Amino acid sequence: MAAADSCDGISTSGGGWEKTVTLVSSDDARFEVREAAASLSQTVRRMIRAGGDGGIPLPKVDARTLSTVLEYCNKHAAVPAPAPESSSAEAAAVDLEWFDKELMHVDLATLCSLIRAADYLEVAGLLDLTCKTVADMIKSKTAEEIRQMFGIQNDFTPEEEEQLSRENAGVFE
Amino acid sequence: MDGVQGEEESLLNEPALSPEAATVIALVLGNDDLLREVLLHLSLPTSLVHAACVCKRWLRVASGHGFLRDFRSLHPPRLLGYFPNNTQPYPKLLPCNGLPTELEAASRHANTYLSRISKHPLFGNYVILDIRNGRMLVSMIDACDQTRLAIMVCTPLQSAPPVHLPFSQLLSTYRGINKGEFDMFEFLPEDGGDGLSYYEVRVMKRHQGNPRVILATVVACEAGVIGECRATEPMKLPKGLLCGTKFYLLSNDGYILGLDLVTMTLFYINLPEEVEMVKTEYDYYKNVDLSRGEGSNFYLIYLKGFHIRVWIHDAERGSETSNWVLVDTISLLKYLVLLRSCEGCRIHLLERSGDNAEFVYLRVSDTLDDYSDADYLLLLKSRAVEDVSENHWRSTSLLNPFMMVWPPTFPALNEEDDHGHVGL
Repeated sequence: MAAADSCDGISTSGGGWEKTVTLVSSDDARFEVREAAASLSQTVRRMIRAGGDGGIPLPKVDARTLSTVLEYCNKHAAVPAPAPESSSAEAAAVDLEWFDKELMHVDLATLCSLIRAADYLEVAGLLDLTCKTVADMIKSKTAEEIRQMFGIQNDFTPEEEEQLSRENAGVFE
Repeated sequence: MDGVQGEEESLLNEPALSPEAATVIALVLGNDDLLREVLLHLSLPTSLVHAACVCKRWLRVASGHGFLRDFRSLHPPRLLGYFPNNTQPYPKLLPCNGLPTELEAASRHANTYLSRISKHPLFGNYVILDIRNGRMLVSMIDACDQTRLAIMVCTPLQSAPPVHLPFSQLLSTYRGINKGEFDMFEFLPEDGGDGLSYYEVRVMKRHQGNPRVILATVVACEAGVIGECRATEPMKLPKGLLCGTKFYLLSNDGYILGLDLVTMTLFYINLPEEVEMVKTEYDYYKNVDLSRGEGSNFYLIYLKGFHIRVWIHDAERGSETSNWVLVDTISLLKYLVLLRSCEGCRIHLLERSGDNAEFVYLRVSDTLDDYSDADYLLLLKSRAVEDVSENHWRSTSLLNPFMMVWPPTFPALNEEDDHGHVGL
C-alpha cells in the first residue's frame, strides 16, 4: 500500500468516491481505510482533525488486532441511517448481528486484545460487543470456574471463603 | 507463605493458558476500568455475585457504589412473577414466562421457602400486605372476624426464617368492627427496610360521624419496636370517600389524597383534566391506577377505551396543585391483537401496577360471555404482552407482583484490604 497523507486518499469502495485515511499499526503495517469507517474510532477521529502526514500511528495496536477492528468498523460504517420499521432496516440489523456474532468467534486472548484496542481506539460499539462476549463467558460460571478460565488467584482466606458462602445463602449462592 | 500458596494455586489454576494469553488477559481484567466494563455486561445480579467471589479486587469493583448504580440502571431488577391473593395453604409465586435459568431458580427458591415456613403451627390464614425488594409483609388473620393474629416479614429469596413483629392490637380489632369507616394500609420501607420495620397508615373516612372529614394516623414499627400512634389534624374534603393505594390514595371522586409522613399533613391533588374515573362493579376493576416513582413522584395510569395514558406527578413542583406531565400513550389495539376481533370487549386495570409504571395487569372481559375473561401482563416500556390467564388465579383479582431484589447481597469481609491487592 502506498504511503499517503493521512487524509487525502481516495477510493471507490461502495460505488462512490470516498475519502480514505491510512492507519499504521504498532508493527508498522499500513491500512488504508475509508474515513467514515476509521471515524468510528474517536481516537482516530481526533487525530484526523489534528492532521498530519504519513498515516496515523497507532502504537498500541498490532496488525492482527487492528485488522479485526477495521473489519468491524468497515461493516458498521457501511450501514446507512436506519429508516425505522422498514423491512430493509430490519434485514440490515439482522445481518449486522450475525456479523458481530461471527467476529466474536475468537479465543480468549484475541478477545482481550480486541477489548484493549477498542478501549484505546474508543470504538464504543466494539468495546460493548467484546465486553458483552466476555461477560457471557462468565455469566453462568461459579467463582472457581471463572478463576480457572482467566488464571486468577483466589486471594480470599479460608475463613473469608466460608463467610462468602454463608452470607450468600439464598438465591445468591 | 503467600508465595508458596500462590505457586500451588497457579499450578492448579492455569493449565490451559499460555504465558502470552495470560499476559493479555491480565492486562484487560487487571485493569479496573475494563473489568468494570465487562462486569457491567453481566445482566443478572446473581452472576455479578458469583463474579464478585473470584478475588478481592473483583469484589471491590463489583460492590462499588457507583458501579452498582450504573449496573442497576442498565439492568433494573426483573419481575419474577406474582403471588395471587387467593386461598392457598401458602403464598405461591407464579413465575413469569421465559425467565432466565438463574431467576427461575430464584422463583423455585421462593416457593420452597414459603412452603417450608407454612408448615409452622402459627401459619394459617394469611394476607400479603406488601412486598418490597424481596421482603414480604404478611399478616395472619382470624378466619372468622378478620382480626390480626400475627404480623411477620418473610424473605423468600434468602434462607433466614420469618421475623415476627409487634403490631397494634387496637388497630387490628378496629378493622373487623368498623369495616368501611376507615382504610388501613400496611407497607414496608421503599427499599424493603431492615426486615424489622413497617408502617401502618389508617385513614378515618368518617371522622366524628362526618363523612366529609378525614384524618390519618400512622404507626411505625422500627427495628422491631412499635412506636406511638401519630395523627394528622382532620381535613375537610370537597367530597367523597377514599379507596386506593399507599402514600397517595386515589379517591372515588377524582382526587388523590396525599399524606406527608414527615409533617403529618394531608393534602389532595386533582387528577389530570381529561381523566374520568369510572365506577365498576368490583373495587379491583379500575380505569385509573397509581404507581410509585422515584422519590415522592408517582405515576398515574389511565385506561380509556383501548388506550392507556401515563402521567408522572412531580412532587417537587409543589404538592397541592396539579403537576402532571404526560409521559406515554399506548394503543392497546396494536399490542393486544385479540381486541380487534372482539366487539363486546371491556378492559380493566387490575391491582397492582409495577413501580415506575413499568407494567400493568389488564383484564379483558367479553361482555357477551361472562366466563371468557382473559388476563394480560403488559410491560409498558417494551410493549411486551404476556397472557397470564392460564394461571388459575382468577378467583380474585388482587395481584402481588414479585421483583428481583436490589442490591445483590455481597459478602462483607471483616478484614480490611489495606496492603494493595493481588487480583491477578
